[in-house]
Amino acid sequence: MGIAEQKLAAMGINIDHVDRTGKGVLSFRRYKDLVFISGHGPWDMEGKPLMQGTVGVELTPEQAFEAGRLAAIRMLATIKDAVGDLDNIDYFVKGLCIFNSGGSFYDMPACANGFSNVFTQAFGQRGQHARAAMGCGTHSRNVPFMVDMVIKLKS
Amino acid sequence: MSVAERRLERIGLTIVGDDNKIPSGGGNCKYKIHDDLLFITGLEPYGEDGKPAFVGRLGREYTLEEGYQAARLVGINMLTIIKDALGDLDRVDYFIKVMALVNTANGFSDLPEVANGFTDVMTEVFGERGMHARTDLGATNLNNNVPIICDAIIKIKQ
Amino acid sequence: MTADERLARKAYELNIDYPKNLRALVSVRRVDNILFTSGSGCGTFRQGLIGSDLTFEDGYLACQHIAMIQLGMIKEYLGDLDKVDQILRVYGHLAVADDFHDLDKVADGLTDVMGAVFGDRGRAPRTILGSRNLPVGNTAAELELILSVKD
Repeated sequence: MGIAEQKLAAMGINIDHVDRTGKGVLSFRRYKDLVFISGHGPWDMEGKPLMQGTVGVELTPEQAFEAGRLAAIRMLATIKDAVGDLDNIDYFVKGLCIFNSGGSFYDMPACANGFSNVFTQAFGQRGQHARAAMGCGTHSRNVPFMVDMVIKLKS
Repeated sequence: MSVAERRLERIGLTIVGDDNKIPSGGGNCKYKIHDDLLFITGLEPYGEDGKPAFVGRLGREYTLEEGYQAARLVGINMLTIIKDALGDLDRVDYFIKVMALVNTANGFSDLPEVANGFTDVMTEVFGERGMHARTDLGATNLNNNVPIICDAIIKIKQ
Repeated sequence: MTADERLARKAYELNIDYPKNLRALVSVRRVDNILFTSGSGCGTFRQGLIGSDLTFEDGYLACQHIAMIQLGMIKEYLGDLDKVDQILRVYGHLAVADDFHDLDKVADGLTDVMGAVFGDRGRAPRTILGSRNLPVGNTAAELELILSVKD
């Protein structure tokens, strides 16, 4: 035990341990001018799913498009929290758009525009981004869509 | 002894570095460094013998608790690679972003609770600096049919 | 910033719709000396599930095909592939049957091309997910890259 801890113990002060079990995931992490945003889904602000199901099974492509839009809206809350003022954003860099897909649903790119178009419409050319739009198995809480993003801030 | 290794001791682990025990997924590239960024390849829950210690899917072969343990093993494997890459775990500044791929069946959707096995190892060892942005995805299949794979992008101290 | 980009930003501030019908996607985004590429599938080159509709060979060839597409995108963006410093990270999804588990060996199709072009600087950390559905009528694979460029 170090000297300071010994003295504190002698003072009768016990230092508690900060327990981060189950709490290690951040909504975003900043690295220099980049902000890495965690995966977001079509959630409300409490993280409750606004839509659930598999695209191509329970959900239609139109619903998938809407799921993308809802995820964009939820992500904007995190983005604003991360950057303070949306004008602090230089441009959007890269999105990873993943749909829980089944049946014969293969139209992920068109449906991911539900998410991507929000940013181009709001930010113009700065809202454009590199992107992959793909399928996967079940998402957390059975949402149909999850997306993460990398954003560049103004220097 | 480094701060990180003292914390490892407290949770009953010693990390001696990879020493080529952990197989890499083809191309033999377990990590890459660029500037102050460390990219770690997607890692499986390998056991001491270099073979996956868990094979199967959440919702079928494995329960949430078992998936959590598999994810912890991925975290421990990653620590050996980080030590190999940086020489000293204290050279980790902080974790930036993690992909957690969970191999699922029968609609298993408690992905964050499984992936927390990995994240909890990092916060136990690195404290706040072990926290990270993370994306959890459910896979219909993973290499070697393991239940979980995690990668990481990490910031290195200059 | 190019003159075109400055024009686009000015138009944005003035609420003028320029360029019209702006596509959301760009092939490559650059931040300092790091490039992020959009995911490339192999289109109709190989469609279906590796391990049932497609063989392992098909999957490997699909990933080789994607490597070519990605290198084409990068070359178009940089002008010259010798400006590439190293590939930093590969991420992607493979369309696979339930009992096909050799995903890494399939992804070697891309890694082997990158290794042939850039040597060890082309072989990078990889994260690969298996899915039952991918775009374009279940193209066999889709992969994206993070890479660094020389100053």
